[in-house]
Amino acid sequence: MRTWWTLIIFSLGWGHGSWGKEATTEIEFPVFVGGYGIDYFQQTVHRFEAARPDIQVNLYGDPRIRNKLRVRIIGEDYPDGTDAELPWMDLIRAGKVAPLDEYLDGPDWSGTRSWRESFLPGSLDRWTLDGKTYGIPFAHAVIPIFYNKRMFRNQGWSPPSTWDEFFELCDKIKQTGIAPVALPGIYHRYIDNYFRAAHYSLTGPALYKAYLNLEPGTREDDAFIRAAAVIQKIAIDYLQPGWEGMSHTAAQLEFLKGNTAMVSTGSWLISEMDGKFPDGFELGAFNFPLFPDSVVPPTHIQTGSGYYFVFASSPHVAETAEFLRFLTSQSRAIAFAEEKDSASAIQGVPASAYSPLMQDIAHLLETSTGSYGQPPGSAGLFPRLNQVRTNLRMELLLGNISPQEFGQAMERAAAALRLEQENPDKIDYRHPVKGLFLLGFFSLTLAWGTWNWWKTRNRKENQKQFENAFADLSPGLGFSFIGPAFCLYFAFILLPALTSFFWSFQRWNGLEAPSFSGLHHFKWLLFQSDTFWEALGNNLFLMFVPGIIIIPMATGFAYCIHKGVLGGNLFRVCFLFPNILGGVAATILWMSAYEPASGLLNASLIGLGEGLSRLGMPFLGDPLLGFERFAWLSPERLYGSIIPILIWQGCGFNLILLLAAMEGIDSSLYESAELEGASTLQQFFQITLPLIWDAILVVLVFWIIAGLNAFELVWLLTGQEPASSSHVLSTWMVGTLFNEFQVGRATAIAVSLFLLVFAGSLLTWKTLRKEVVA
Amino acid sequence: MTKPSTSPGSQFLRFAFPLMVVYLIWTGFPLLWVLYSSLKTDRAIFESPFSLPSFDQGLQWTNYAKAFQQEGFQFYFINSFLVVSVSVFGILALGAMAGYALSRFHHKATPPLFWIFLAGLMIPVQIVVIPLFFQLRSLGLLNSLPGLCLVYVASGLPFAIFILSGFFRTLPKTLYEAAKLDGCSEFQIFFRVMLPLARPGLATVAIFQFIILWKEFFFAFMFLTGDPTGNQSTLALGLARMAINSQYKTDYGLLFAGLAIVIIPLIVIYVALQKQLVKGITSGAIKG
Repeated sequence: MRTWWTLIIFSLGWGHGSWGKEATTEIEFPVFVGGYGIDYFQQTVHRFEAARPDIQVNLYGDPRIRNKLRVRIIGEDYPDGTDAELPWMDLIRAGKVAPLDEYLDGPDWSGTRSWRESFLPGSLDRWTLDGKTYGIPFAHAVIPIFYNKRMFRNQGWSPPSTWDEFFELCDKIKQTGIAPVALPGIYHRYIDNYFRAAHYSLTGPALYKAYLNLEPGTREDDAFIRAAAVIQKIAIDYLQPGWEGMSHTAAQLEFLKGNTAMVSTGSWLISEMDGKFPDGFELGAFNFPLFPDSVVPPTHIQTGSGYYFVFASSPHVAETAEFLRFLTSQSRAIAFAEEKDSASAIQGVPASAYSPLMQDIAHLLETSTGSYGQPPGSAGLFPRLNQVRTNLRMELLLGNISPQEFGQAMERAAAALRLEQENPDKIDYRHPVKGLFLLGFFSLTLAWGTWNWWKTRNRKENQKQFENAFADLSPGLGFSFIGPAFCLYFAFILLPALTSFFWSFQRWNGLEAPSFSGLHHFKWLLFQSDTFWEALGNNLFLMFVPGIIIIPMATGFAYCIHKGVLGGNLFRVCFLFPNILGGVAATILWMSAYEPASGLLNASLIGLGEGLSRLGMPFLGDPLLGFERFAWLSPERLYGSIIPILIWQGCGFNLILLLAAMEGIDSSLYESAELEGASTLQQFFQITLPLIWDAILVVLVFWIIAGLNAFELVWLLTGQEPASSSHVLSTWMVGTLFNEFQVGRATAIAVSLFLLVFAGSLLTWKTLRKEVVA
Repeated sequence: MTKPSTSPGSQFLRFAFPLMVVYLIWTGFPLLWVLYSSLKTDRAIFESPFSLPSFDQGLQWTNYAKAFQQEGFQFYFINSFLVVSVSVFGILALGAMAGYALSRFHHKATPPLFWIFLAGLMIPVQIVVIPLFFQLRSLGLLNSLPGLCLVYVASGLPFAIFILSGFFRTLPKTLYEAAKLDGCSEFQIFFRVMLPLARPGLATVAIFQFIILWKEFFFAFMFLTGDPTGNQSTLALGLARMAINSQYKTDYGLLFAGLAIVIIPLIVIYVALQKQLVKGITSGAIKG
């Protein structure tokens, strides 16, 4: 409650002072919470605090912790340490991360070996740069191909060791009516597990590193294209039906239910799906197949480790390292295996610590001679390349582009990125016509608006509001009545809006000092960026397409209620409710309804289809059966599927507005029209429509603003990671800010959005309004 | 509303009626589906999405227990309620005072000030949100509900001033003069005479802002996500977070229970207040 008093007393600093001083050091340690949950880590904290009562660890987290931390890092507000996915390479280069070598060379927690020696060979290398080690690994997931052991035994299948055998196996599985491979389409980056395996096995460690370092040619060579061909084949021929719209866990459930034979994910699968394994399910895991000409042995395993980092700005580097020493102690690693049934990067965990489900993984770990993979955090190295890859990957998986085209496009994107790194001021004029058009549109609208204002500025009615003024405004009255509102409005709306304009002319990544960049961001947006035009297109789609359906529909319904249709009041009340419910709840509700396997929509369509077929209308019913596992939310259908959600939410509100306008119409007009024999429909066009025209304009302007501001719908439906073809301007702005740390560019997107809203509303209002009514 | 007539009109309505019933089902059924699915087991939801919860297996009230214990929906409710109430009160108080002074007192600065406030209706939240983030941080108001309240009040003022000055403008000047003769101070005139007369306008603003802020997500998402504990969440933010986290948990039952917890009280309040709500929106629309 203390925080509430803060507001009431309006003393901004009070709630944040601390009472009394403790002798203990407190370290703040936000963590990523994924499949392992957070309980184990909190338990670790309790034990650590018991052993070191002088140190308190404030450990907390959630699955999107990186969003929180990215925001804080831009604001120079660092915690002491974390394992969240951040652009660590940039942070290390900027000197924001503390090297931990002095502690690594000391003893580990048990004191029997050095801390450095307690890790699995090679696991510290990933974040060792120029001889200094920054990242401490702990959870060390193995990424294999999981398979349904009992199914394999019953059918006489065995794990393949080459890609040819793998595809042969897939064909056999497919013939039994089971889908060979499960993949979540909403998070289709999971298929990169196969890609990485195939690619790495052809390049070997050294070339793989060159590829990760963005070196020329590494994205269109033979290895890259063959790896792309592997995932394309898997996607086109062997995935579960409906994969395009499935979430991560829905796809894994398909595997556990025996609808698919294999799935590739990290060994966190076991703790993540805890309690969801059917009785007697036997989980097997094999390492990825190889090509005949692969250059690495089959004992190199793909791993995904969580790395912990300590920020250099922390006043408690030693204490944080001390906590990490305890976290990575052998006894905690064994506890991790026993409780979470998960592997860690710590040596000396016996296979008996794992459950029967994990035995294959334990074996893979034991026999491994090397590891590869993308550590979390390296994705932040080239976020824009990642975005390109997200888009192209889906095209590849759907068979719209060939592996060669995929490689070439990735290479082009990498080359553009290299060029941009060398010369950040250069603009590649890719959209000259569109860019000039929009520029022209802005200038003309603004010029026209200004001229309009100039023309009418001295009109009498502008002065009218003061004709019946009570009195002259005294300074006392002004300050006490207008002052508080204006101060608040200025501080929290006007000032930030003006600051945005200022920042949009700056280049600032939140880490280094900002520098003036002139119109660079705007030129980049209008003329170079593809995403800007795609996002704008999506915004325009959201403005026009649902609007064209909703506004006539709402007008029609409103007219029926106005004319006294049976149950009119009930309709009005019920139709409005979804709008009151709000965007987040409505989106989540529809997301569940659209779920391919467990959703309301597919179940209803199939039920209807079966009913019709049984009634002897198979020509009507059978097509509906095709909706089994239909993926409504796959990227290419996403915007189509958004339309019903928007109608559901928006129709009622518009209906109320239009009905209100209709109710203001003088009923004698209808009476005389009826005497003249006009039908209800004629009355609508001759009386109602002209008289509610202004209300329709209000509704239109609302739509334009709502369409341009759309955020949570797209943000939630795309699992917070829209492909750039699915972005709207708002989601792209948030992504630019949080994922790319491009504060200047993000504000430039916001400024363009403002200009669009302004120009769009002005234009609609001024051109379509018949008469200016004061 | 015109009475149903027996002339050609009723034919048109007879045709429209079934269409409206279909639309009604389409509006209502997803809500019912969420409500009854929230009592099913995870497996039942997944295997037969359509079916009613089976009584043999028992209704899954544990889904609700989890939503309250694990997710803390009760706190989100209290937070949302406090934030929205305080903000709406602030909007009404500051908005009415400013709207009154701006619309009924003459000064060469009032028309531009009025337009500056109105311009706020055109400013999209996106352009405000990034610098505001840094500003709130330096004031120590990031991840705090009072901070969010201040932002909400500021963002609601343009609308409030716009609507309320409309109401104040209709009040007769003689009223002011009479009160003045009676020896009332400016504050007394405002609070005793003018404010009560603007009650319909205040109701419109309150209802509009309550609806808008109750479902607000973007500001809450930007300014409260950095909160370490997660306790400082509004309902919309908590619900979104639960949906995101369900990606890692496969807990459909929990998700539906969470949705139901949001929907049910809203239905109750909505049914109780629907007349006022519709009236509020309506008069707001006519004024706007």
